[in-house]
Amino acid sequence: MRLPCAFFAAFLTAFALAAAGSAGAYHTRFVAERCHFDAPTPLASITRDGSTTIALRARREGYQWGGGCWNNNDVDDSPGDPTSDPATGGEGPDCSGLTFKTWRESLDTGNSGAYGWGRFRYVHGPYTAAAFKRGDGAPNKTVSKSALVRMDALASDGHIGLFYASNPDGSDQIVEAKGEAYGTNLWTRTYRGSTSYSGVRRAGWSS
Amino acid sequence: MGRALRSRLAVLAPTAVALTVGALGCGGSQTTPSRLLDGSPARRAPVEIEGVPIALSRVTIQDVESVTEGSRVADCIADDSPDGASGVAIHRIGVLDESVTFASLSGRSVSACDDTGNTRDGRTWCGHAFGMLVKGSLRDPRLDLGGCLAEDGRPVAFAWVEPEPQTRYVVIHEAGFAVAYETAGGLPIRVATAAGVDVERSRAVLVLSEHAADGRMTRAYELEAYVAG
Repeated sequence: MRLPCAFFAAFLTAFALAAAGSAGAYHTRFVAERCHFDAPTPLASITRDGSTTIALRARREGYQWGGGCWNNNDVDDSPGDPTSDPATGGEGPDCSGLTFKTWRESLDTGNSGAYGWGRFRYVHGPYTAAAFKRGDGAPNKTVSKSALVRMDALASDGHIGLFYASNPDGSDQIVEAKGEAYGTNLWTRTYRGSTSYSGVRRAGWSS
Repeated sequence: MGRALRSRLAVLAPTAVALTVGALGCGGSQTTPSRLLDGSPARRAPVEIEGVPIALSRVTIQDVESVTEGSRVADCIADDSPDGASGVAIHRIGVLDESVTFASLSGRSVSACDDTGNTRDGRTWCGHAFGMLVKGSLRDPRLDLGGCLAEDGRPVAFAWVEPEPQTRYVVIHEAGFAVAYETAGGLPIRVATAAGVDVERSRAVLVLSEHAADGRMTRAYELEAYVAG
């Protein structure tokens, strides 16, 4: 069946007009200039200490909704990105992107293997916080909140943070990408006591 | 429609647009699927949808207070919102996809269960989505990809579309065919695509048009969606 070109002409016109209206949305070139899409490095094993290092290095590197690329200079190189826009190309992970990269997972949700991505590899991964909370994906599973160990996670439908340590008062130290206004850092949180949060664990640690 | 979602409606370079239009087959051919995912016949829309022949997806609206125990809708609500739901649940069967969308008990968020009938590990649903509503709109399309596969093994991405108020049909333009989804229940429309899915970048580009009740096209755009948050 032949398709009327008028439809596509209208499509093209509408698209061009919309594109012109949004041309100013980009204000940082961090991802464009610093990040890459190289293949990850398959890893024979992963340790919780190694993942702790990855997570802690992300501190002070900013936040990017849908993001997954950062350097290690303790500065958000693209501060004040518009929130909720993954395409602004800013530095830093979001909460689920930080978890994916720290847990060194595969883009294939059926693959529980380990993959090193590198800070400058732009990758978010296929999981939202809600998906992690459910234990979706071959490497992930839910776990009792009373059984958390370092680099397990606490996840709700809208957020996920990596467990670092417990405080004497019952609160926890959590490494998390909190938001554009806060960036990524280690904070004291009480997620464990919230019914909205579940414990999540990446399977397959060697130590 | 959410601010962020609007901002993502058109961001690809003109070259990509030309390629997209070319891929859609201006002057070429399209085949209208005769069957939906569950094997039932794909209906034609009651009006002529301007521009393209389409298969009309099936939509069922159910009051969450009276869903049938053991049904797909009941299963989804129990799975995604143990504390309950409010209003209506929207069950859709498309060519590639099945989904259920419902609002939370508080009405401040929406949840979805997604399926393609081809999950990797035999789960009931191959994907799920959760989105907070801010002033009645989603922050982003809440893209779900990676867990759902088409019959031929291609990854299928699911996303919510929030159409303009006058829209009656949202049409997804796939490579070789187009599927229309009717608006229903005032909830975002869960749509699916196997075209434009980029697993490496955790994103998908959906080619869409919106149509009024008489079939007239009111908008045509590309929606670039990312896995986020």
